Amino acid sequence: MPIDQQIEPLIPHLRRYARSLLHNGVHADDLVQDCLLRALEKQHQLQPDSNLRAWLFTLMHNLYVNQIRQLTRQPDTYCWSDESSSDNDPEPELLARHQQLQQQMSQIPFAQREVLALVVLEGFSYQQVANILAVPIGTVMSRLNRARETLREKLYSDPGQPLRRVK
Amino acid sequence: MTSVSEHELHAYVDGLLDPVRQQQVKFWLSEHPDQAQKVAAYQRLNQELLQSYPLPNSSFQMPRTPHQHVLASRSVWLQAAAIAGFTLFGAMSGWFLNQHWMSSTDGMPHDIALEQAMDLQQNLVLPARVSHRVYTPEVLHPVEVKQEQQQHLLGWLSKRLGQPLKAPDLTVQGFSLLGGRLLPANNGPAAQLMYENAQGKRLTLYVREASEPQVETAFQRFNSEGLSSFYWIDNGLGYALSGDLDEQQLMQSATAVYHQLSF
Repeated sequence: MPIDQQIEPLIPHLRRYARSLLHNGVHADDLVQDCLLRALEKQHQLQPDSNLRAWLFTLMHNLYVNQIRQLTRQPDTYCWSDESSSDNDPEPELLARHQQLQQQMSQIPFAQREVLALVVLEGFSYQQVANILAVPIGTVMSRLNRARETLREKLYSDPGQPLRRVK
Repeated sequence: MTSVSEHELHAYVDGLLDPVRQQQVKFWLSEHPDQAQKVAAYQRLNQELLQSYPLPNSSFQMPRTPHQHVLASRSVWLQAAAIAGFTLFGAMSGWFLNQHWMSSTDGMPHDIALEQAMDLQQNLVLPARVSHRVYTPEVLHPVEVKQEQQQHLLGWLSKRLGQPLKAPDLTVQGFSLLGGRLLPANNGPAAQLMYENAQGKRLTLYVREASEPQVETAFQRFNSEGLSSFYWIDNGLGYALSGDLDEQQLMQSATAVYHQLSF
């Protein structure tokens, strides 16, 4: 199967990952475009037994890290729900909750955000995430832990209960 | 039963444990309510993240061949990146941009000026500005070799750059040389000279080899987030002078550097 046909079903996943990193639909789609171009140019580097999905995510991570990491210092508008992405729009409270999640995500350090997105949204194993980001698995775990702890505090702490910090 | 590690708790949340271990952790959690509460929050977070980041199904044009790529100037995020002032220690080899950015669209001619501008941004201005931001806040050792050993400093840097390097005299503008250091540019050495005025404001002059020695550019400027830079290529070397000054003030020093170093 030619590579662009193999890539096509993965595009929504790449777009979602880019959105979780950039929180801006236009920038995110631009990043995916550039990632796909690189993929087409570099397709000769792909081995027959390679995991195409992991390879594409690695390309996108490298592109993001090397060229636009600075953008994460100032989280941009995090809302793209003005895009009609589904037939059934969620109710207003649900939408507000989604935006709250996105906002909190956009405020954690990008290195943690990447790990959380790859694990939770894409279902990569911890070792796969370590390979994509080119870091040791211990680093993946510590970033995952910090991301989850921060978001747990921001989103799920019960104001009536004193917060117990678990180290 | 052995205790459950933090790694395993995350793996439990993400469904990455084998079935036997998963059951064991589930049982362990039933006896550790604090941990169980934490795990429940993580699981809820997983669900809400998946809901908050749905797979986009709006229209998306898949590029067919590299030649359909529009010039970099139309790519919003790359423009933003160029403005952002962050360095590239990337795959760019040599002074000019690689083929990726040089393809044209609709039979339009290459915009050489644009490509050169992007190249200067990425290989001269951005690294110079990052180096400025990294080293100028240092109190104890802002430079590697102090100006007391100026001759040694310049001899060393000249040798590494492959061309003689003079340290411009900026005393008229109120700046004195503190010293300098050698830095890695993306494919070779770069030099940084640091100056300071009586108010403690610092300038850095970043110099690196241009791989196309015939290229000369006009004096150009770039500023963002309070840091101004002037840059140019002359006689086989690229220069970038940066300072936390307003442009007018920096321009005086930049002009002095330019005149003193041009042949």
